[in-house]
Amino acid sequence: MLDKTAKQNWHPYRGLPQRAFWKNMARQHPLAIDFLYQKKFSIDADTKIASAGSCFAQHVGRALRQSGFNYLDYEPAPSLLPEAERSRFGYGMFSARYGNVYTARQLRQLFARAFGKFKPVDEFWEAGGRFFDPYRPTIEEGGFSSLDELRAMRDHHLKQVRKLFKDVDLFVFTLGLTETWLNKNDGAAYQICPGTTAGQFDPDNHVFENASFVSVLRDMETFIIKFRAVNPDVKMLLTVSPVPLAATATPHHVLTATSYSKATLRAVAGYLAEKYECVDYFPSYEIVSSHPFHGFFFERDLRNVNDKGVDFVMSHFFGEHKLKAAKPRTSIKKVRKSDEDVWCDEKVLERYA
Amino acid sequence: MKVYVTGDSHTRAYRAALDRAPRENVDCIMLGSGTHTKRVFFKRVGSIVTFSEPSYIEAWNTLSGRDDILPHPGEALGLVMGLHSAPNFRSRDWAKFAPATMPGVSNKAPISAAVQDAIARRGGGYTRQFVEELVTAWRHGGGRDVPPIFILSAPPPYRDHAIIRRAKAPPAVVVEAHRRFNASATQFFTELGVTVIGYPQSVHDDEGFLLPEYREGIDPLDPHHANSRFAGLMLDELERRVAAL
Repeated sequence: MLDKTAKQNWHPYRGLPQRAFWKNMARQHPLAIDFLYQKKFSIDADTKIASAGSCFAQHVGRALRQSGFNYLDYEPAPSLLPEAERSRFGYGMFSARYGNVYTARQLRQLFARAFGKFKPVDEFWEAGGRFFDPYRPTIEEGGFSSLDELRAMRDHHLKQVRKLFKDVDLFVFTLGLTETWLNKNDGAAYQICPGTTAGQFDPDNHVFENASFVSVLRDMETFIIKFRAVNPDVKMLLTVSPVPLAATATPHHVLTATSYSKATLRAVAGYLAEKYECVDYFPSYEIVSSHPFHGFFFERDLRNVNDKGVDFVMSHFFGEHKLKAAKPRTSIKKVRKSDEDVWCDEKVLERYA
Repeated sequence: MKVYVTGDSHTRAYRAALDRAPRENVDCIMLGSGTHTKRVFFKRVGSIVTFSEPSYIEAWNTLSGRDDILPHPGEALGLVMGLHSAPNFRSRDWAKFAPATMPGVSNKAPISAAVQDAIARRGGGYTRQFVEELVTAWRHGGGRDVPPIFILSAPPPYRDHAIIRRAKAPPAVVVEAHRRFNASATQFFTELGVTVIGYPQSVHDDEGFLLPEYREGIDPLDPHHANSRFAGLMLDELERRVAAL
């Protein structure tokens, strides 16, 4: 029991751990900063893990796969397809061939489409006799050879995504953007603005939306509720991509637009992790982007995350989630984690700079 | 015109065909296993191309009495390599994947035509580069536009192949894998200006499988070779093409 004097002097900041004080962190070498992540639940070698999200999520998925975790791939490439060509066809980037899922709206929509609850009116784009899936327009470089082929590939893809959502134990989702292009008719969210990688921009049918906190939260909560309805024990690990916007369609500077986007996504991820037992948050955004790290982990373009950054981020993850006698699950050789190995559709916007 | 025929293990059938029925101006030797084509097995210096794989050097020297490979005046070269589709069509991938628009294979993971083409491009090891170097050397040496080099196709898959019988790959998928590979390689060599001699339609059935008579005398466990009868037909066509030069 505290005596009277002690009681008078006590307040909530006394006895807090070292990590609670900025001053302590500021004295450390950036690479020595620790306790940035404390896991909420455990992952073991049998935990079936799947990932989706923005470009940065590819690094996370790859690191999990190479570290012996049970990382799912429900649309693997044929072994005959050379490894160097796989990313051109969207293989091995994520747990299925959905390509980059940048926004909460896209994720919610992917789930709805996989379970037959939403069928967008904008079914395909055609150009020069080639056919593009508007919701993953770069999944086949140069498009599909016919509409029949696009439909067959899409139906199989959605079937595998449905299976993935039902089977997975831990779903890792990296929130990337708030800026979204929607179809005015049914609200379908595109992966990227029509006309930039494929398709044709049509101001009568395509509309821009910069999602608010409320909007992102609504999309994520809808997704979580529906997801747990088909997979009651599933857990989620949310991250926010540290990769800045390649371009903004708002009237603001891309720096402030990035700040808005990341702040919104970070706030939603934090809120969800506080609210739901099944949701954890992993601070990859802070580890790469916060100023105590002096931008060490960015490439010269101040956008792409370098190998050291990815390794440092994942070291915090693996520090909390250690596997006993971790063995690689696949024979995939360790590959470079450089920018060329990560397919980022949004990067195409740099062409218009 | 003197015709040298040489190449991978499919060449054995050509040797047998010539042993059975010699042809005055045609001589043949197997270089060795096609496995060596997975690495660079040749080198070019200016207009001289030679093998760098020791077993190939020895075999070629036995056949031609020299190291350089390009046909000399009055010679033609028949290469039994480059259209060896077996490493592609016998992959276990075809028990799991199928062309997206192929009917009757909905239980397989679909792959697009572009992916099939990318797979087809991959096969053949360094044989495409080898022929490319031969053509480059030919032109470097002031040769005519079209070198007297002919690529002889390997046979199509046979119906009872283990990839179908044991691995349960759909027959149509296996034939399609072979067809894509051949089409891709044929286009590549043709664009180089090299003549590709495909097998005649008479050697396969309606599905595209090699007829049993062209496997007679071959060990049933042999994964992809045809017999000397098949080679004889190919030599007939080769001689016709050479005569037309």
